[in-house]
Amino acid sequence: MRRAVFYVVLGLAAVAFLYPFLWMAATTFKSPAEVGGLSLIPDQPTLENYRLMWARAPFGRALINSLFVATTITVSVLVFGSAAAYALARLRFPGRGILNTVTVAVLLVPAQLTLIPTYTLIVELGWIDSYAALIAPYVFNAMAILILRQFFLQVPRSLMDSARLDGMGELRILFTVFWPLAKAPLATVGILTFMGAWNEVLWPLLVVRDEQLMTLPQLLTVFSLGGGAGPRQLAPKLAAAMVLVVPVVAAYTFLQRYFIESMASTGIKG
Amino acid sequence: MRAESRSGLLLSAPYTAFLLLFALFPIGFSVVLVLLKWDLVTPPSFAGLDNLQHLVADARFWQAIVNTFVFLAIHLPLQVIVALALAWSLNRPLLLRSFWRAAFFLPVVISGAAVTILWSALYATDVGLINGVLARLDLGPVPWLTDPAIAMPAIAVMATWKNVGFYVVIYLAGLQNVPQSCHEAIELEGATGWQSFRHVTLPLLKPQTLLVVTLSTINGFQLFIEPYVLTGGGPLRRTLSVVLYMYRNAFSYQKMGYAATLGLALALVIAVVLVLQRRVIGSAEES
Amino acid sequence: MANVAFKRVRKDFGTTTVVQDFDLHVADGELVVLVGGSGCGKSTILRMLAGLESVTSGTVHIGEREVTHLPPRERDVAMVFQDYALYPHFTARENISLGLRLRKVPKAEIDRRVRWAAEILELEPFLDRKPKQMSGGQRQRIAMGRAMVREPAVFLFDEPLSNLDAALRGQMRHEIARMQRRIGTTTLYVTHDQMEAMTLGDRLVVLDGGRILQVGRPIDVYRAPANRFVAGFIGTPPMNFLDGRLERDLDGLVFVSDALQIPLAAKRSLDTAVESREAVTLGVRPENLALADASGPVTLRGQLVLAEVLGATTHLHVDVGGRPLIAAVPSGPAPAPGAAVALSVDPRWLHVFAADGSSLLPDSRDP
Ligand SMILES: Nc1ncnc2c1ncn2[C@@H]1O[C@H](COP(=O)(O)OP(=O)(O)O)[C@@H](O)[C@H]1O
Ligand SMILES: [Mg+2]
Repeated sequence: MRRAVFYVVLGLAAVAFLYPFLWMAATTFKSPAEVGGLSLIPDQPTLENYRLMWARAPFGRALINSLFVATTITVSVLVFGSAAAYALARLRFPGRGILNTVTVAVLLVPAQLTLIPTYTLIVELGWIDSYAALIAPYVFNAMAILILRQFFLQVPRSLMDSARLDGMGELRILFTVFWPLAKAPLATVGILTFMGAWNEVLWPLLVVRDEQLMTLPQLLTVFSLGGGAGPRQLAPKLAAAMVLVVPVVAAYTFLQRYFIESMASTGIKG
Repeated sequence: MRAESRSGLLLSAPYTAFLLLFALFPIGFSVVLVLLKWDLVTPPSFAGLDNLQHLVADARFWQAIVNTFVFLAIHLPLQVIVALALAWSLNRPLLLRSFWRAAFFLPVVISGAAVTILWSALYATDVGLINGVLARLDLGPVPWLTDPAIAMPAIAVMATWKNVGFYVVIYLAGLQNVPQSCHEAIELEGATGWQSFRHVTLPLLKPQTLLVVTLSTINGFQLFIEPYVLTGGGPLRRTLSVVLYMYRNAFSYQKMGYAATLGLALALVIAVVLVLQRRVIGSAEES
Repeated sequence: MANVAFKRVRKDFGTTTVVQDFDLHVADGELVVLVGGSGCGKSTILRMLAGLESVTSGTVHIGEREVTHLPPRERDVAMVFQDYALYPHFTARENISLGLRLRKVPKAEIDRRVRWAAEILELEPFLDRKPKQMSGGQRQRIAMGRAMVREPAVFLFDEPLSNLDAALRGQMRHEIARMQRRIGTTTLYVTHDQMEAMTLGDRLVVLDGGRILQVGRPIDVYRAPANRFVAGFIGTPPMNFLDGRLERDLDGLVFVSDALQIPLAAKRSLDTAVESREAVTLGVRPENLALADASGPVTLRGQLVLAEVLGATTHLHVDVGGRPLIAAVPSGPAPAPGAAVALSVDPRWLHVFAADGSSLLPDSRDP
């Protein structure tokens, strides 16, 4: 009996987290008359909201922009970031100590402090309304470098030694010896980076004004600011939000363990 | 030069360049900007301490700080309590255990922009889901986002909903490290389940609580998209956040010097608050 | 095939010197064992030869070439590591052949060499397994195979058997010796295990604190340790040491320690080398102590503390005036613990060390 009550309470809690998403999904298929209702099944399902949303703003283009930006950033953080992490962990070179210290120090600086100076830098570089503005400030990530460096430090020295004796250069050692061993931290860094880039909205709002270059969350934000909150506006906005949410939910459904563990293991949120 | 040094320098050179351009330069330049008046169109002019003087007298800035504290006053306790309660419920043999955890975690992975738009629909006065539920219970519609007294608490509830799953996972990890023998020892002394939780579990979860409070606080000071989309900082500026105000100064008013001053001030406030929190939570341990 | 030479090699890590005055010539085809305690610089020496560690000063030579500043892949050496250092995501065959593939050796030649190594090491059944699916001994063999197929000028082994259990260690030691003799490659072998060092090497190099203490054939090092450290390090159970002084009597020199007197008869070389009354340490190996029978000369009297029967040999732990000594005697009827025992010393096998540790009997072989 107590057990049953417990499950009911837990179920209600889960409803509080899941029902809004389901309701959002249902609402996007509803006609204006139905929009306020609690039901999850539209009486007269319609794609009108999606048609409206698609016609009013370039969401297809935004989807492509977001994919391009987030993918480029993630690949860069993984490839160039692990090269830097490898050097910081396993190669002796002048300046390594300073670079390690700065990497840790940078993590302690709040993003708000550097936001405006970085924005002025982008303006001075003439990068406003360019992919460069969206990508360049994120091609490295101090946290990613620390995570990878920490892992690379644990790879036995003898493995590196035999790779060198086998005739490998540093890049080959990194990508054919270290990477296969580092699948878990690479997955963590990859998920965190992609999620961070995919969800970022403040930075694009600052540096991109051209609708054709906007990322998905940015275009969604801009789109939802126009028009009121009446039933006619609400459903298309939610339809736009669906474009942003569905890919993430799909990935999350299959990889939820990795998502949760990546985030929890590093203490960072996306 | 040794081959190893050469490779090391080569592999780390792009990162070094990145740090110089996108970390060290902005940090240094933020201090310079404080002393400038600059609209990004005409050349910058030296403004001395004008920006700082303006900041001290700026009612909107102080309103934003107060708003943030209102937000934190609701968000922090709510976050800790809900996260603890959910983690505690999940920390047992359970049917579909990973399903529950995944359900609570779902909002964490969703973009803040999408969550905010979803909640704008939940909070909508006429067609919103929450008022719809209330209407079923014969309760009148609540103007969630248009009443100055309710708007910020409403945003705090939404932020809790968005993030709590993350803290559930953190608490769950902590709970799994509490040895069963601790509970058994105190229950042999005759303690109830609640007493065991209060005197054994809670103190052992202090590191997690500190992490939850720290991250939630940083989060609170970063509030931007929620007021930007839901309220535009209103009503009566009661939901204006520092980052939103900073964004407007930079983007809408073209006041780079003042926007940077706000950023610097915010960074200092965050540092001070975090240090104080650490003191308080740390001293609670001793008493 | 090549000889190897270190010339006045020194290695500093920051301000600490871990190898100094290191001079060593290894002949073509020779198996030289470097032995010493943990942290004495053995691995550093191998790594400098392999090019994995830079040399602070001095030069390193392989064959006719000076290789001091060459990168590892141009030195033509192969190394076997304590933890095997196999690539975990590759099969045994891939591990063995990787070095050849990277050097663009033709496929047929690679196959030939892998088959050759697999046959010598009896590896055929495991070639398509990954390291995780193999036992320690099998992994060890894969690591050796990887070194062999390279057909390098020099083999380096860095404590290759330390991670194996005792039985397997003995067997692998035997296999390494057999393999080395069969293919005749110059080999440097590092170990901290003096037993392994004694049984394996053509020559021993005993190290301490980054310096060479003694170089020689194992039996010569055993019989004539150059100093007290080597004497104590080589041999199990270790040599017994007694502190005392030398005095001169009618027959020659006598070692005196409190009530104890041991004549060092027939030790010509000492007579001129040593002033009497000098403070010295006397060294005697356990097997050079024997239970005295009633008739023979008795030199040491003490109390039996413990008798460990190992089989053919028994180790007697004897307390001689507060000094613990170990005697290794043929097993037989032994006195009970607590009983008084009398030990005789074979004077031909005594070692005498000066206060600075150096041996005063550079040649203690049969006079
Ligand atoms: N990369 C390094 N940096 C600083 N000290 C080192 C390094 N490698 C080895 N050492 C030091 O050099 C000494 C010799 O090390 P090593 O050659 O590994 O000893 P062994 O193999 O004989 O146990 C040790 O004291 C060790 O701490
Ligand atoms: Mg070593």
